[in-house]
Parts: sequence; structure tokens; C-alpha cells
Amino acid sequence: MEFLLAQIINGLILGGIYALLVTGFNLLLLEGGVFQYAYPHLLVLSMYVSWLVLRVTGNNIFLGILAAVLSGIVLGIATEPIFRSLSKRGAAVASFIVALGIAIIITDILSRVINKGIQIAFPESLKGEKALLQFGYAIISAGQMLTILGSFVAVGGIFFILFKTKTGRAMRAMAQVPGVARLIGLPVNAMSLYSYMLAGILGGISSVFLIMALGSASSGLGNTLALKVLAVAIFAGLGNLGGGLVSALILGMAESFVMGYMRGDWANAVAFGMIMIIVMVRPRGIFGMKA
Amino acid sequence: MGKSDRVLLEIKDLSVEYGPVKALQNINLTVNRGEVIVLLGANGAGKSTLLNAVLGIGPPKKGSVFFEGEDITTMPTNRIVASGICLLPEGRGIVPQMLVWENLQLGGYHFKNAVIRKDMENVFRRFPILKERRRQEAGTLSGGQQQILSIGRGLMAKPKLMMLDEPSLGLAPVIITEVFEIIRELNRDGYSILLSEQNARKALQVADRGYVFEKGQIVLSGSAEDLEKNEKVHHAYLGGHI
Repeated sequence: MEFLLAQIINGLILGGIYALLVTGFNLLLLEGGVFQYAYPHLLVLSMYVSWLVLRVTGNNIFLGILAAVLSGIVLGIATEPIFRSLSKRGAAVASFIVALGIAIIITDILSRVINKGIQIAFPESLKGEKALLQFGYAIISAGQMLTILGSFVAVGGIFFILFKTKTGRAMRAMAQVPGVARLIGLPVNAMSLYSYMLAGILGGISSVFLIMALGSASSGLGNTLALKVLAVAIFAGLGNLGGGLVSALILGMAESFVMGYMRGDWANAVAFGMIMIIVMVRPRGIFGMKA
Repeated sequence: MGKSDRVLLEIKDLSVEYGPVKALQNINLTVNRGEVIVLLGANGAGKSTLLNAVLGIGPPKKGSVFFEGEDITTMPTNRIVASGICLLPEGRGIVPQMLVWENLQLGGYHFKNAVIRKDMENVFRRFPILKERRRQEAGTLSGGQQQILSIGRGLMAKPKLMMLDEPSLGLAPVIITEVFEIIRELNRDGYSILLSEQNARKALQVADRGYVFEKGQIVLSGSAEDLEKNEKVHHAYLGGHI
């Protein structure tokens, strides 16, 4: 029972982080028409920025977290001009190649320049390992609780903006009927930039949660995460925001249970095998593509 | 009233090119306050290109566009719309998966929420069907209702000039008559109207003046009565050949 609970907690944490990432990824796909493969790489870069700030400030946790979130926003906005002309011409495949380039460059820089390419480790104090709740062997630490709640709040916030505000409705209109959005006078350029900013905030927040969950980062993390985000997004149906959330939780749980009940190194094979079968049966994803 | 007060929209020597294709060549056109102007011409003659160009959308262009005396040639589209020109896109351009009232809200995007609420009440008074259907997904409306929604959304922008791109396209004859009746009412209420239309007979009945487009050029212009009597117009657009 306690063991099961521990797996569920881990699944929620993984699922929450994937939910943040897939929401940001879908946002860029819907608003910018961009296949941003390098989105997870940017958040790994944020982890590295946070690490550098922690080193410089003598492990000032507040500044470390602030650096992670702010750099997420800055990196998000900084990529908008790179994709702008492709996005205007509806060149989604070309944008994927550009994103791939960004991903490879970031991975290479992290594996050579920062910390001589060695895996970076974050201070223990950042992990929030103090137990909040304990059920026998199963412990929910402060960091885990923060990650689960924080993911829910952040994703909830984005959905509130998209579905309950005028700006969000304009963003959804832009995703559904991009040509018309411009014709009826919506400020499409500003809204595109805004969606990069929102995706950046989600990336920044998830980099903090990843720091707490993993306690370390290496240059290969971006690729691992990118594959998962891509898989979750396609599994749910590209651009399907709601479906993305459910699928993120499914993948998180699946991974966590495989790690708990089978040998951990099978986690990816089982998770991706499951995705493969679903996609073979339903090529447009379980919840269907949007826009 | 001086000339500048009377002229609402003035297009001067406008040319638009898609690469080697000359989509519009040296277009000169004016819309005076209170007028209904119709653009006639076959598919691909440049009518939609012109309406889009007024909003600053489309390929690079030469020449200029003035609205209320101000040069809007290079202004961003959202600012042009905010300054008082709205376009009702060809095919109506409603957002199908959003509710009727959400579509209306988007039309007044550049206004504060309180203003939008008030304007939406006005639109609902004018078109009670939209009030009735306000919580329905716009894609579930009939073609005619979608056109009314498109007009309502245009009104939400508080325009001085309403541009309608092929408003009768794909609608049943009874509905077309209704749409042109609405256009007439809008004009009576003070909206100036620039209309692109293939249904020349109906359009000339509501229009004050018209321009005939052929291969990106204006080949004929004049009062609606003159155009209606013109042999060429008669043959090409009024079914005179039957």
C-alpha cells in the first residue's frame, strides 16, 4: 500500500512536470505554428543558469529560483524572432529543423562549456526533502508537494487565461483561424509574443521543479525531455491542450509504475511502447489533433 | 462640408504585386461618408486583394491609402481596425469552436470590457437571433446566421467604414435578400459601406456608386444606375448573356 502510494506520488510529480512542458509546447504550436523541439532544451538551459547563479551567490536559494523562472521567460521571448518569419509563412516543418538546430547547439554548449561538461549538482537545501506527510515508508516531501501543487496551479492559470479572458480567447481564435484573426483586427504579433512569454514562464517553473526532483542536470537532459514532450503531445493529439494534460499524467504514472514494479531501466521502453501502440491505432492521438 | 470632411476613404494609385503577378494596378478609389460602394468583378479580379490592402494585409504595395485624411498605408492592421475600418471576411470568418458571444467579444477586442458589454447589448438588440444563440458554438449556426454574426462582430469594432467581402457567397436566395436588407439598414444608421460582390444585381440595388474590376484594374466606374444600364456590366455581371 505504502509502496503503491509512493509510485502514485512519483507519477503525479512526473506527470505534473510533463503537463507544464506539453502545455507550453502546444501553446507554441497553436499560436506560433512552430514545432518547438528545443523547448525542453531551453528549460535545461534555465537549470544551468540557476546553477551558475547559485554558485555566484553562495547558494542563495531565492535568487536561484528567481534566475530559473526569469531566464525561462527571457529565453522564451528571445526565440520568437528566430521563428517569426517561418511562422508567418506557415512553415511548420522548417521550424522543426530550426528547433532541432537550437536543441543541438544548446546540448553541445552544455556538454563542453559549462562545468567542463560534467553533470551539475544542486545544493541539497533546494530539494526540499523535509518530510511533510508520512505514511509508513511513503513520504511526501515539501519539494514534492510544491511540485505537484505548483504544476496544477501553473497549468490551471494558463487554462484560465486561455478560456476565461479576452486575451486568451483572442489567442484561441488565432490558433483556430489564423488568417481571420488578423482580418478582424486582433493584434496577432503581440499575441504571438505573449504566447512565447507564457510558454517561457511554464518552462521556467518546470525547470525549478526538475531541479528539486532530480537534484542534478546534464547536457543530455534536454533530448530526453524533448522526446517525452513530443511523445505526450502526439499521443494526446498535437495542439490538444486538455488532452495533453491527461496524457502527461498517463505517461508520468506509467513511467513511475514501471520504475517501481519492474527494473527502472525499462521505464522508457514501456512508456514509449505504449505510446507507439496508441499512435498506431489512432494516428491523430487519443484525443484528436486541434487546429 | 469641405472635401476632406466628405471623403472617408481615399485610395491613391495603389498597386499590389505577388511576385510577377500584378494583383492590383494603379487603383484610385474613394468612399465618401454615408455611401455604399460596390466592387464588381469576376473571381480573381482583385476585389479581395483591395479590401485586404486597405487593412494593410498582403504583399508589398505602391501608392497610398488615406482614412479620414490620415495615411494608413503602413499602419498595422489592428490599429487600422481600431481607427474605424472593419472587414467582414469572405466566407464569414467566424471562429467555429467558440461561442457566439465570444465571437462578438473578439470584434471589440481593442475596447475595454465595460464598453464591449454595452456594445454587445446593442448588437443583441439589432439582431435578437444572436442573443438567443449567444451560448451556442458559432459553428453550429446556419450560413445566414453566421453572416449575421459576422456583421455583429464587425459592429463591435465601432467602425465608420464597414468592408464586406462577398457577403452573399454560399447563401440561399432568401437569405441573400435579408443580408442586403441589413446592409441597407446599416447604411441608414450612418455606416459607410464598401462591398465586394459577385451578385451584381442585388449589390447595385443598394449601392450609390460602383467600380468594375478586371485583371487587377478598374475598367469602369460610376453611379449604380449608370452601371446597371451599362451594356458591358449587363452582359458580364447581370446575366445579360442568357
